Amino acid sequence: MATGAAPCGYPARSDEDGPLTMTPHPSAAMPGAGAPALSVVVPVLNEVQNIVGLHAALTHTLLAWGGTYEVIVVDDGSTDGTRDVLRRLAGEDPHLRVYLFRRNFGQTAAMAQGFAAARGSRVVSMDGDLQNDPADIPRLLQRLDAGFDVVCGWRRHRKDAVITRLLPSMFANQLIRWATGVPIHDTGCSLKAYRSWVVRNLNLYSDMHRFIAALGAGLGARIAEIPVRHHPRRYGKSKYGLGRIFRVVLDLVVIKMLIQFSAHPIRWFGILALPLFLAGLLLLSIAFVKLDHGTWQILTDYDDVYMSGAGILALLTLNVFMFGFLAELQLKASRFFRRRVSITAVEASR
Amino acid sequence: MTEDHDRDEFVSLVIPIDNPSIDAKALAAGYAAPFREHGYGYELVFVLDGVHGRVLEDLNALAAELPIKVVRLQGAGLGESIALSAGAARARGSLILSVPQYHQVEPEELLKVVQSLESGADFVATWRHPRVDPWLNRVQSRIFNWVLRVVMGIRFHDLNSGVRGMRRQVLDEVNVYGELFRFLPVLAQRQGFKVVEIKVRHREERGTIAFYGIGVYVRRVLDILAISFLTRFTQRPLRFFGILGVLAILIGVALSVEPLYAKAFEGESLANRPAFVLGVILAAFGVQLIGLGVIGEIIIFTQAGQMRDYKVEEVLDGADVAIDAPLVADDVERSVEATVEGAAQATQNGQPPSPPRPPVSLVDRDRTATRGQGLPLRVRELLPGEDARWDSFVRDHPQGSFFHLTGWRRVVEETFHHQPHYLVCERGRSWFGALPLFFVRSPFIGKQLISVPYAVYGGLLVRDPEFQQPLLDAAAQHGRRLGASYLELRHLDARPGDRVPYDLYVTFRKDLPATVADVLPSIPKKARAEVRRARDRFNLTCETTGDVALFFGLFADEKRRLGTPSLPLRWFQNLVEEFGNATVIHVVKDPAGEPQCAVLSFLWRDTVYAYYSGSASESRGKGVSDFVYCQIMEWAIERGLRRFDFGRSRRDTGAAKFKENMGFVPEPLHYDFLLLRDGAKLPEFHPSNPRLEGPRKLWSKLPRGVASRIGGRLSRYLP
Repeated sequence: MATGAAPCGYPARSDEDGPLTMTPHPSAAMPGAGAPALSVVVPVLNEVQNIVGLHAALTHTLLAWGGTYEVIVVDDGSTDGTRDVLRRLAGEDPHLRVYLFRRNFGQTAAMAQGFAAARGSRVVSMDGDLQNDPADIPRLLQRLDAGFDVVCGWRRHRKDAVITRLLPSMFANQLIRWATGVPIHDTGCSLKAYRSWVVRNLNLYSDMHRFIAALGAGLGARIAEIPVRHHPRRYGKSKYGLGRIFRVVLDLVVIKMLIQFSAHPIRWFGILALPLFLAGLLLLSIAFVKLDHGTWQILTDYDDVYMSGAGILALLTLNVFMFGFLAELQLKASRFFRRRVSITAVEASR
Repeated sequence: MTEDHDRDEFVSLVIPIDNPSIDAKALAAGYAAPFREHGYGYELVFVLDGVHGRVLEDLNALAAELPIKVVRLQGAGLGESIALSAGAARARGSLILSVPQYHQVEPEELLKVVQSLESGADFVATWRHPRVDPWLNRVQSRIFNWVLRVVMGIRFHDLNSGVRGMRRQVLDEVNVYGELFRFLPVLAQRQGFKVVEIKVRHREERGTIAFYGIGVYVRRVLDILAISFLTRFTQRPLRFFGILGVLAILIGVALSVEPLYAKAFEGESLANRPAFVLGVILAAFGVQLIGLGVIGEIIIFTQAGQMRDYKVEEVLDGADVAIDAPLVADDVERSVEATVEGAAQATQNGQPPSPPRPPVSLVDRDRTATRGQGLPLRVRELLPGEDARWDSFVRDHPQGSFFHLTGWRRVVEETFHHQPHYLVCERGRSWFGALPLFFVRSPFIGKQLISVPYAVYGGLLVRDPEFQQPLLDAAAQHGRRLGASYLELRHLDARPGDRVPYDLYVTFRKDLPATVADVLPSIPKKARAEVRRARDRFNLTCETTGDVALFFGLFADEKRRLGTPSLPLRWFQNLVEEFGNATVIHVVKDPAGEPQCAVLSFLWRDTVYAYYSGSASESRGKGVSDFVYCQIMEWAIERGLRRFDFGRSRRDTGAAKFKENMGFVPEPLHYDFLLLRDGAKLPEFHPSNPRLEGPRKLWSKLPRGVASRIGGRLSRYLP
């Protein structure tokens, strides 16, 4: 694989010299000669009634916008005939590239594939259900060019069910804002614009697509937000429900840690170990010290239970610290930072 | 794909050998026979795992006669996973069959596996059914597989079966090591490959009655746990460890709260409170678990760039249309289908096929001849995964009907649990005929094979009359084995052959007028007056609805009045669910919004089949029926449909009269019967039979709820 072979962990520049053919490996698709100015990434799942309309709207907007562009549709295992429509569209439109997943792998995977395949120096992601309006894309790009790395859409006037979608989403957004410290109102909005270095450096997996802004901030990207239009769903069903909120909370813990402590995981584990250490200290003091008639006394016949409790906690503290070392080791071994440094630096020199 | 080969796919059988005392000659000959007979390109790849001497000599000797490759592993006892990978790496087939070193299943059954792969499966798991090995082994295996099914949610029945078929791609993408080859179907499925399970006939089991020992099962269960963990939680370790950790902490806290309270406020010593110690340890353990989960998260986060868990099946590049070729369409076969269809059309119209053909099709026809040459014609049952191919065969066949589709089979199977036997007649990979059959057992009509139950049309679909007899022979053989007394073929048009005709029914079909405005003038005067009366005097309106329950209420009510059991609600629900937009319900309502009459229709090609209907008892004399059918015709014309099928009726009944009054001409239906037993009689269990007069009267007196409940059950036996 190209990634492994290149000294800095990213493909050698020779990849860009030849004519731009699609190579299966994601990171081989670096922007080079002939690369479009914009890649639009659209993950879709069972959107047979929307896809033609979406394609038409995108084409209309982007042709009017004027730059070179490509549209990358990633089909996440649709079963309703979306694939046939995509096949037909791909036969007609040279701007369109379609990736068909073998089965349903989830929205994050679809987005990751789309980002990996994007060749443009700017990338826009959006939903395939026509709730986002392609007409907002030029405005996002304008903001991006004003000196930002990620521009998020904010669905100021959302057209969704209040109880099942709006309230949980507001709660989740508040939580995410508080946890990550990124002042974004609407993390759930898929309509976002990025500079290509950001998407290429995002490691998307599991449900990470919800935290793209936060992850971007972790990379040092400058983040902005503009209000975008939002349309009610016309066809098909929403693929979200209430159940996701609990997982979001658990994910938040991880995101917080990854963003703030990924450079120094031992600090994170240190924080985890601190209460244990304090509790151990407390037990120890209870065992040995006693307040007797206003004076502290050191006990000689200490209480066994406190002692063993303190012992357990001491071991645990040590243990958690060891975990922290393990995490540091993993970070070192993975060349994570060297990769990150190299890609950011390449972008800056361009 | 090349047209020069009889087959497109080359099959490699990989046979790992670790037993030095096997009879390699018999083994190789047995496995080779079915593939040679059916004209496959094949090879046998023997992988010797620490075996030398006689087996190797035998194989080398045999290599002169059979396409044999021998792979010797360095070392011994390396196991089946390594043997399989090594064998596959040196095999040249696109289809790889891994088979055991003894004839565990009938070698003929391997063809089924290959056919399944050819018809689009990526991996074929086999299920030895019925098992013939000693009872103890059988019980162990069944328990093992049952545990896996229930606990792990794996839907395969026989993971230990030694026969597995796969496309090469599967082995390229799924890593197997250790004992994991057993779980290949599970792993392949998780990777998004299309995996099917088929039943194979079990032949022998080597070895004696044995209890494999608890260790074997413990190892296997650990393997499956690892797989399950890897596939489910690899992306988010904290979700797994976190939940366990939080649980441990909560339990720990719960256990230690009470002793701590007692200590603080009641001065009790903690020394003799084991619950407290346990609680503290648990809580500590919980913290550790969370720590582990967090480390897992960090590992995943830093490595996520390298592990892409998703698989792209296909890339369509708008700039490069060549990639955008149809996946399955075989051009040669397509064009051949067209010409043979022409022949079938000609015979259908009662004319002999015209001898001078256009030159193009002559070429094609020659090509079919060479294509199938030397290959025997054979009839087999439809395999899992072939539904789409069957449906496209039905669609392309001029006599194919809505009821021939596999959707109908699924609905009948799901609602009534009758046993389907869908037969195809093929030579090489090309299909020449199909016969959908259901085995129905009923106290009223005995055991029989029906093509197709609950349908008005069914029966044989053949490319050429010569393919009819092999299909019928196979069906008869099936029927006799099952103990059926006759085979009922619900043919719409006459077919050659000497069978017992059954002319109870007629059908009514008509071309629709060109425009909506022509519908009323096209029907006879009396009926037209009825339609006008319904529309103008009673102000009835007609609309389409998705409300199956509403339709069912009217349907069941009418059936009860007529004295016949109604089909169950589930039947209609399943139909609508299966066929979706190919079904439509029209309902007629009076000005008060009360439903008067409803009709469930099917759409097939350019025809609308007005198939099930029901009306309220108070709707009599309002011209409701004339009105609704007229409305359906208009609706169909608006949708661009051309033909109207009124469905069958018994000759000279009220329903038949009604259809004639609507301007339809009865056409005889050519149902026919093949008697499978001496002295078998045609069924006389139909509403025209005077002996059933009494029961029918009685039925119509039953209360509504009782009738529809029993009727639903009874209708299982009245196909």
